[in-house]
Amino acid sequence: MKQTITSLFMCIVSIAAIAQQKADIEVSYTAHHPNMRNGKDDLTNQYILIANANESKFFSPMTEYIDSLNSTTDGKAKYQEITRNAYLGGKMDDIPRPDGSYYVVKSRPANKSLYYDNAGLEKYFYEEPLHEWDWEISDSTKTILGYECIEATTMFNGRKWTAWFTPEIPLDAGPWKLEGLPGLIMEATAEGGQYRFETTGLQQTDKPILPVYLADEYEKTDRISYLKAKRNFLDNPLGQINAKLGNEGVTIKDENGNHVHGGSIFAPSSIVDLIETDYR
Amino acid sequence: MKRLIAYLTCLYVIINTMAQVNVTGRILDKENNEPLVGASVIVKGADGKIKKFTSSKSDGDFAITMPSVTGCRLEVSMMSFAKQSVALDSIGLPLTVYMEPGSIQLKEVAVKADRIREQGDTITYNVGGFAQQQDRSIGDVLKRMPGIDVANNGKIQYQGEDINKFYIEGSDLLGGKYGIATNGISHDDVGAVEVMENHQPMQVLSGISFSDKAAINLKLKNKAKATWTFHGDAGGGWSWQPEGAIWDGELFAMAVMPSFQNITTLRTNNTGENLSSSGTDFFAGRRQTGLSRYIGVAMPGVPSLSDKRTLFNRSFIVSTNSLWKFGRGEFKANIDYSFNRVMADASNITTYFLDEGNRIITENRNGTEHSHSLSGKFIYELNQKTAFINNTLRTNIDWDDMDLTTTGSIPNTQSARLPDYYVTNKFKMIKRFNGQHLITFQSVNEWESLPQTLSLNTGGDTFRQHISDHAFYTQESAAYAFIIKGVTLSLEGGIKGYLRSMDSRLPELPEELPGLTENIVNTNYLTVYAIPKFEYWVRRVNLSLNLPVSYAHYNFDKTIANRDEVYFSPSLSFNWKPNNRFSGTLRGGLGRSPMDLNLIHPGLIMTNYRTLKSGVDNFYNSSSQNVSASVNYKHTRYGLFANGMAMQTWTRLPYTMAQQLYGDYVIYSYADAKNDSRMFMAMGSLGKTLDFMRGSCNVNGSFSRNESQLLSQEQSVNSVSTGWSIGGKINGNPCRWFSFDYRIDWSDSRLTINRQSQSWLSTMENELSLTFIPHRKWQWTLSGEHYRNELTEHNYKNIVMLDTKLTFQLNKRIEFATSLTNILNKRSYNYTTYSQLSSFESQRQLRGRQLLFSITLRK
Repeated sequence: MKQTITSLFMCIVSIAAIAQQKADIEVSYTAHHPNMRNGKDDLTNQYILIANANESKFFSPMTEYIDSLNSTTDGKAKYQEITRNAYLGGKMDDIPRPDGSYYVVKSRPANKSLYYDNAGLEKYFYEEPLHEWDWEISDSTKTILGYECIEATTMFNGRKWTAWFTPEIPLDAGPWKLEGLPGLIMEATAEGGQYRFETTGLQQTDKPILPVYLADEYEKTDRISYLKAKRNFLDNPLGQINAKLGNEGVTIKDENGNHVHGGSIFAPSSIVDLIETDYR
Repeated sequence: MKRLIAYLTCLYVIINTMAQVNVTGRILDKENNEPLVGASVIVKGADGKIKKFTSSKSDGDFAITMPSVTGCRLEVSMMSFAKQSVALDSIGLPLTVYMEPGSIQLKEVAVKADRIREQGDTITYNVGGFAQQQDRSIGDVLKRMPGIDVANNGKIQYQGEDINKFYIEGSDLLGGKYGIATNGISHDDVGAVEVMENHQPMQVLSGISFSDKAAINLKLKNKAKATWTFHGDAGGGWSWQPEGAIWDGELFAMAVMPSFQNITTLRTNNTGENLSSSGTDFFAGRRQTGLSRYIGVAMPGVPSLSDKRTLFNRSFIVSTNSLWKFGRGEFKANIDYSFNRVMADASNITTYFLDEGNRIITENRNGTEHSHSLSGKFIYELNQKTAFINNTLRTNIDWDDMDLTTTGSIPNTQSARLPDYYVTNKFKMIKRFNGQHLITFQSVNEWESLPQTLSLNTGGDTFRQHISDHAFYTQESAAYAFIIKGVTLSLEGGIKGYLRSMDSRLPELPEELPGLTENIVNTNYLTVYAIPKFEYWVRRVNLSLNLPVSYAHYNFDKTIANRDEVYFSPSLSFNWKPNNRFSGTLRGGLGRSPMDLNLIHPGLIMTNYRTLKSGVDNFYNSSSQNVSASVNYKHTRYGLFANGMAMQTWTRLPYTMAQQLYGDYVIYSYADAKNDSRMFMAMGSLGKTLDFMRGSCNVNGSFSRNESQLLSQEQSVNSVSTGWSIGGKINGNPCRWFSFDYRIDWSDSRLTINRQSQSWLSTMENELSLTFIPHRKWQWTLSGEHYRNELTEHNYKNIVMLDTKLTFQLNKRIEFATSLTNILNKRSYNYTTYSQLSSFESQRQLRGRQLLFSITLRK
């Protein structure tokens, strides 16, 4: 009996410990990505990485704030009120809008990485074991935010990435899915420069690493299927929208008022592609 | 064949093993022998470059395969542990590496996503993004945030306007005495500072009444919430002038819980630090009792240097502030007591160069002021969307005793006893019906007594003057407001009653002076008033028109003739905010107002040993007009904040102050004469973050011109004072081991009397502070000020003061510091000016060199 209680107790303690993982560090990044309509404009989102040696989460704070509001009925009402007040007051800039769309949550003890994002109108998540990284460390160094960083390169899911990491912060973590270096990744650029992450600040923290809000609204899939779904949406957005809305005849007009056909809203993959390209 | 393959495989394995070294091992926590997961393991070559790396797996194990380990070192590091380094040449494998706790401190707590963020009307400043190593309180960090200004007394302005509320985690615990928080709360406990623009503190008025003021809210870090936080400082040392021991102590406790907040602080020092700002209520409106001191015994002036150089003090303050939330309302109690003893000394030496030899006249003034102040404030407040109730009971008791000894042409000793007793209760209730109708009731009652006693001892004779002055004020009002389509119409009506009596009797003076020597004055009034108000508020424009009109009956109980008056003083304001970045306001008003009733006293009152004042013997009204314009602009993404303001006022008084000399005495009185005065003022400020060095900068400027009339020796004198100033400041943290703060202020002023201009006189002040952090536990600050004051045209007085401070941080809780202020031991501020026939030398004392050892403890 005693043993049962002890093991039960241990079990609860360990669950509590997992649930209340406290981060060591909080790092902010600016994530650059191309405009999927023309592949030219450099768009940015603000992301935060909170991490300790075992767990990490990479998310957009504004998106998380909105998701957190929408995860409770009271919050939803508050969000609607904020939106309505901003709308009535004519202050359209004040309406909280989601920023970057995805969440990346990793756990080293569980050896898994979870990715939450949307593809068009649907929300998906997929789970993968942690990637086996094969970084090539070079001799180049540079200073970012006062930290000496070393250059490293690797191929990852179809693109060649160049990362700058600092051994001064001995944490195997980085922006997006990137990690696997003996120090925090402060900057990373995909070949061509369309995708890029840059650290804008970092600080020590003891915030808990909380799970993703509204996680049950995401449909489970695998990585390649997700990428294909996303590409499909970009190639034929109206098809999906009309399919979902029962073909009520949604049309999109360009600046001159001409009807735009589905295929030409977004640029084709030959001009601008997703951050991972190994689905093709 | 099979065998051959087996042999070859064997050989291959052997060769392989010979050529490769398997660096394996396990990483354990030294404290409990538990394996550590996720530690970074690096093998560095003889050149210090990373050859291979891995991280420890779930059982703390790691394995790296290397062709050779000659000259290599293995480094293991992990957050919250000290780095371990092992030479691989002479070590047995597998290795066991024990990690000892020790923080790999982020040597720099750098910025987060944005140092300044904006969401609607709220601007959030990240405290970590602005704090520097040497900062202690949140006030130190607020000063570095562009757009926010902290005056020397602790008063906070945002974009050039005073804030209207100061919240801690959304609760208004301290009211206007927020100096306690800005000086007391450690910046390390605050996560972010939020500025809420156009803040309407009464929820019931939100969307109905426009506010152009901003409020500040401190968002605490989690570690400072739902618990008590404490910190304390104790310091002792020696001062070279005034010679003796010095002390400096502080105890600060704060609890921020969901239904209870408390801040209790106790501070004392005799090191020149002025604590009076901690007790100042920045939101206290003018007392409607309207009493003011007639006796004006002034302590000798100190040169225009910073307080810490000139203040000879002994100060003590204790303040406890609590807030309880229950139901939907909250109850607050603020109780403060302070004691201050200030001493000042001044000598003036005038030398007349005469044919028969020089004649030297020395005047010494030597004063001590003791002041005690006890205040209590008890508030109940209910702040909801449909109802607002506030009852505030406040009492203030102040004792101010001054003793001043003067030697010179009229050697004398003055002592003034100036206690002040004040009680007030304010009740306000607002109710909102159907979302569009508002009803307000308000009741204000105030009582004040201000007895004043001046004792004068001159040439062995003692004179004593006593003035008794007390007043009662009451105001009852009701208001109704309703809104339709962005238009708010309101009408407030009420009555005000005022009863005041004052009497004074002049002591018998050695010389015959003209005028009455006794006053028995009653100044009472009863006013009925109405304030129609029209507010148009749509989208980005707010227009507000106030049309207060009142009828007053003044009863002076035979002192002077009774009066009946009607007053109308309309005002208009217009605010335009086309977007979140820009806002512009225009204001204007005009009207008539009654004179200051304190001036009604036909008899003479002695204000100090050589000055007497008599008031008016008639009732007057003054009239005035004013216009002002202000603009402000911000771009939070670039961290840019700018504001500008210009104001012009015209005042017309039907009486003018006259000055007359009788022997050694100066007599001020009022004469029937038009006194038109004009004032123009303009100021601007521009602030910007400097993200590349985690700093910020600011430039500001101002100009003012003041024209007025005065009668002196029965001659009309027109005086114009003109002044302008510019200033700039910059701070930054360009590298990990160094940060700096620099400030410069330049001002120029001129007085023109009857179109005869005197020369422009300038003052310049430079202040620089450099902080070095050679090691994360050590910190060394070198700072100083340079003052350059122009005494007469092209005759400058320069003075440089240098300080240094060394801090050692033993751990997160304990810190030791040694500071040496005024290293050069400048003990006096003396200057001499010459004219053809005489020279004038002024001597003021400064605080001398001071050595202070202190210890700081935190919880």
